[in-house]
Amino acid sequence: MVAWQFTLMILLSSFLLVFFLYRPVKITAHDDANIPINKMLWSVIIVIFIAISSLLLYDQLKPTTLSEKSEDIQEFVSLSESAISLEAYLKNNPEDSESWKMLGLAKFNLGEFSSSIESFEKAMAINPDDVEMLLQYASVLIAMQDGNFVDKTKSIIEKVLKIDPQSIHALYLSGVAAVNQSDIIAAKKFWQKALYLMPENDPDREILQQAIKMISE
Amino acid sequence: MLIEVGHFALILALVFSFLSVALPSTGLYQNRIALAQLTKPLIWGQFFWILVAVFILINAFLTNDFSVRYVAENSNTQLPTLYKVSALWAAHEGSLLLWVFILSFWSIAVSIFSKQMQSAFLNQILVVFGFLSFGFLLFLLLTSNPFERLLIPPIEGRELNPLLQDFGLAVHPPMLYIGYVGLSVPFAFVIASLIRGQLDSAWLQWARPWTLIAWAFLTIGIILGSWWAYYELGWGGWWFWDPVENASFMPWLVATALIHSISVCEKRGAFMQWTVLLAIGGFSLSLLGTFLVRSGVLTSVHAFTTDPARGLFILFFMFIVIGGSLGLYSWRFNLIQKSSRFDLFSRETGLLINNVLLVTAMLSVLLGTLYPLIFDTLNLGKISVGAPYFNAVFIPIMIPAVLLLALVPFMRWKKDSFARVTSLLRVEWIGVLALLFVVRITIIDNYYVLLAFGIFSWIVLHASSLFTKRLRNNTRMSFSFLGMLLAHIGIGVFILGATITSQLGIEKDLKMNSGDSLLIAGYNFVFNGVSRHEKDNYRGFKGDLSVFRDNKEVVRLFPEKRYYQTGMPMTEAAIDPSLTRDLYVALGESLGDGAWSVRIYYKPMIRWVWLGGILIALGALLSVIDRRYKFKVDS
Repeated sequence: MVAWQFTLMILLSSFLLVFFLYRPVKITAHDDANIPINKMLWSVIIVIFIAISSLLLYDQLKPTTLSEKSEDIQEFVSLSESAISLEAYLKNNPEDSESWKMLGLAKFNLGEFSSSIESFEKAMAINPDDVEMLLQYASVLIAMQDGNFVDKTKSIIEKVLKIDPQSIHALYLSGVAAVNQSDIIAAKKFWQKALYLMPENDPDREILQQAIKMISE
Repeated sequence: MLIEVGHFALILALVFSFLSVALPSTGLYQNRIALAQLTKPLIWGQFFWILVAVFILINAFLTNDFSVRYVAENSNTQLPTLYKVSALWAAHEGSLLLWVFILSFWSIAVSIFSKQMQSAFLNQILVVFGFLSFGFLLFLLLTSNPFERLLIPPIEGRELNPLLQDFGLAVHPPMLYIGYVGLSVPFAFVIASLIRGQLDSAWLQWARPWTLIAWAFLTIGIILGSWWAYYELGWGGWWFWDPVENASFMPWLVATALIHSISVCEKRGAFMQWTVLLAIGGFSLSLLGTFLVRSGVLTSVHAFTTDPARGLFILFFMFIVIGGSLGLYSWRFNLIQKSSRFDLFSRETGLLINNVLLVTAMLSVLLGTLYPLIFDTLNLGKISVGAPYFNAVFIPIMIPAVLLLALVPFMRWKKDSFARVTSLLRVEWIGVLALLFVVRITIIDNYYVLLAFGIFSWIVLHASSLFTKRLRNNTRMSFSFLGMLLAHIGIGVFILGATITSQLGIEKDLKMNSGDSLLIAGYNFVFNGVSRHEKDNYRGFKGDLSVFRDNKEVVRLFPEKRYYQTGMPMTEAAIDPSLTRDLYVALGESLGDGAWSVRIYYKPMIRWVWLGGILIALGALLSVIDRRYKFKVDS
């Protein structure tokens, strides 16, 4: 969670300005006059302004195109608003796996990781064979573990490959998992297959080719 | 989660920049000094948060955090550490972050070194900086966020453009940006003066050293770019009249006019209206340059439409800044101090003519740069305006300007006579003619070179005369005076180097087999063959050439052909540099059977081009330390 870091940054910013606001005013010969201000009131205004404006801006300006898949989340609705409306909708429609999946992604983007996992688990319980959802869940788990693969992630990817052995995304992730376990031969096999299945004009081909080249060396 | 912290730091910087406009403005106009005095902590806070963002992004590069899209697209694990740091400004988002960082740095520098300035005026200047920062931070966060995450990070990033994997280009953008953005300082001074209606010449004494520093860095940035293009692009050229080059050259020309115009204002109280316009024009051209380079409009008009958000934002911001400044200018026009009177033949007239020539030269470059874009936008077809246009238009405008630059320091302020100046400089003029005659008879008959030599000796002899006169009269030599001499000599050095290398340079493209040789300008280039070569993040071929003069080996040159991960071929020229000539070899393609295409250049006096630039920049920096500038930190 980044909440405490953000809080600390807001507090530091507020402290800096309030500290200088309370410093004695230096009046020079060039100043026409000085109208004293209510420092307490201005301090409160400044602190509230910094906190609210920065958090609102962060919410509004947070990139929404984290992955190609997350584009279904409406661009013009902020993530938190989107999450709130999805939660409200799911209270009445708890069987909608698509909405649970979207909520999982929204919660991940908001940094609410445990809620994100809960939502994906619910989506998986309703529709266990939704390949797209499973891959998103796996990706979210990988991102949360700073690129590492926990057993849960591996089992999800294996499941995807059972449902769709030609899923390029799953093959790619399986390759990454194999590299993590230093199983270069398996990684190469997965990535070569993904490369074979990938369209010629896919911009990611280059990355995959480089990855294969790198592990081959 | 450090990346999110970096993103949030930029947002806090945006909030601070907004507050640095809103709070001090309220304070200044309602006489609430406690609020007005918040400008400094606000710009410091803004600087701090931008610095945090910069460090976090650099850290992401150094730790290969490919979950950040910008890092994944511009760096990989094999990239040497120096280029991982310079990759920060390798693409649009990071370049813009560097822009706002430097802008913030300039505002901090002004706040530190202007403590003796009237506080309300300084606060007003910092408000203008706050406004500029707000615009650029908003642009950065809305359209060019460098902290975008990738949900599925690749295990390896993309290759940094191999052209950028070079020391020259690693340092060229920051230098150029310091100069570009530095022009915001005189702009902020002018706008603050216009807002406050204090349009006497007092602010000029504060503005000139900042303008000189910005101008010096802009000069260094342009020189570094030229030097890089020379050794990295493999064509042996040092200036291409490329639109991106022109984008940096136009503010330079206006800044050159500005530092001279400020000088007249400062000493004689003349040209105030002109100076105000130049300060606005200099920064406006920086913004125009940013728009041209960053919107993609330069590559093609259609590229602009593919990413309209960025182009439109800068266009809109440019409209507000330029339109607002000119509106303010016309509103306060009557308050601007009127020029004091001066005669037709006086130093003021000389400097005015030079100013007009510099601005005309800038307009000729602007026309050549924008003409293809206008043509394309109107669907009249695609045309390209290249070196023939620029050489034909720019050089004739600049010849009288460089002749005048040597002469003007001898003219008296307010009123002088041609007869007095003639009698004063008779010896120098005869000296120039005599030197030209000797060179024509004994060394060369190329008229362009003779013209360049004439200009060089004209400038140097006048500068020496000025120096010896002061020495003889026991007049104090200020740093400002010495700086002026150095910068003027730098112009002469540059002109001589540029003309000689373009007129007398030799270029040969040929097919060479092992053992083949070629004689150029007395140097015998012997091709010893090519071997395979591999290093860090590239592989390639290394040529081997021995260069002989009078049967003695002068140097061995090893030009390279490199292939980076992307497969992009790169030519690494091998150069034997010296002040009188460069021997330059670039390796081309393999032609089979052990034969290679090889490009060999003999470049006489090319180093003088950059030496001239260095002298100009040093001259500017020397002027800055002159004691007449109130450039002190509060004790």
